[in-house]
Amino acid sequence: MAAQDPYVTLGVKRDATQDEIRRAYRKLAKQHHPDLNPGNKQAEESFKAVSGANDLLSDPEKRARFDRGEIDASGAERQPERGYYRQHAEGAQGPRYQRSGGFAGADFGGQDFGGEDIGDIFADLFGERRGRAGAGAGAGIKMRGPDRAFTLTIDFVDAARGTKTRISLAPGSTLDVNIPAGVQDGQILRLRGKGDSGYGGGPPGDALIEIHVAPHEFFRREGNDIRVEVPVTVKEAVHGAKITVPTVHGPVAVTVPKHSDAGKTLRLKGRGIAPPRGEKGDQYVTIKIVIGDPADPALERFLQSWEPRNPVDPRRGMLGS
Amino acid sequence: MIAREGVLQQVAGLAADELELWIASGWVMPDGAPEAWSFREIDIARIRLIVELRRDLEIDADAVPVILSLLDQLHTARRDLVDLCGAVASQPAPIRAAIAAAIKSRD
Repeated sequence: MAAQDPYVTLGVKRDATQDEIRRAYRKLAKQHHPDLNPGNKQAEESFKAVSGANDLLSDPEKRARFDRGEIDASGAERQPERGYYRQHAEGAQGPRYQRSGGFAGADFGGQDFGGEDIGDIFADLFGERRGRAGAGAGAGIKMRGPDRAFTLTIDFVDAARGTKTRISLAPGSTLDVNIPAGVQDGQILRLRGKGDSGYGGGPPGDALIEIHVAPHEFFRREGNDIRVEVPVTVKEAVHGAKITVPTVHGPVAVTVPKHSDAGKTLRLKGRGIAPPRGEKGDQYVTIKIVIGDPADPALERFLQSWEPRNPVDPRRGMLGS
Repeated sequence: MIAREGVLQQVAGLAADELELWIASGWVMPDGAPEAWSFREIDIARIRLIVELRRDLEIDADAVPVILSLLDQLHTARRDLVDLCGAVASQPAPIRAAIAAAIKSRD
């Protein structure tokens, strides 16, 4: 299998701090360390992948080179072959740390099956049982598969409206993901049964997808409301106008009332985020008056000769009496 | 058989006083006496595991004996299971079939 993106393997963001990487590694290593999973053959592969990703990302220099595309994930994946305690514990020296209560003293005339996996022995003995669901002999052989972590960055508008997307798990294997409307940055979607397959008929693990929402050029989000600042001309602000503004659901016509000051906010009811549960949000449009650069010479001339009938200091009240 | 110096050489990141403490705590059980411990491969693998638990996985010193004890029990059970399978495998076919049937009838 091709080397996974180390960020995906560890389930961290591209801009994760060294501390976040260390924590993610520690969590996964505890889960997959082969010596903490004595009967699980796949643990070694998972642990190697996690260790390889950690080797790459925990070294700032290697990480920077990976980020620049100078080395690929496989560069760090070749973990040296190494032995684990579990091989010794089940080998000839195993009885050294034998606990009382076993068959140690019993006269079963046991044979040395050193190194052979118990699961395999059961398969040989009771071949027809293999892969069948159900408890019984060989407990520990049937195991739920591990969860797989992914990160997915989506567009602000897609996050607001909800979308369908497809992620690739491994070459030739994809997963369709339904992103619900209003998904939050950092939210984790759990897709049941879409993780790694189980062992011996055990159920598969889950896919955990951490969502990152890219910021938008105009839109800001507040709960289920969307805020946007819209420029209007001096003329539109003074005389009022019908203008078209963007919303996450597409352009909408809005009336700017006569005598609108800069900073005036208009509410477009129900034009915010419509989450699967809960109330629909609104969109708030804040008016920003622009005079253009350079200002219209005719406007400039007019303002020069213009004497307001009732001159008012708009800053009165701000400076004390 | 490997001497104490050999262990310290083979296991990266292991301090001499740490090893002494682990032996004193019964986490590692070499042969011989304190002046001349003698280690086997299984001891080295176990020491390496403890180093990884403490350093890489940042597991509390208090939790290590719990993990080791559970692991030892698990391996004991697995060894017993292997012995049992071996014993069953050495039986004549009708007895093996009877045992398989008895196990199947339980679930």
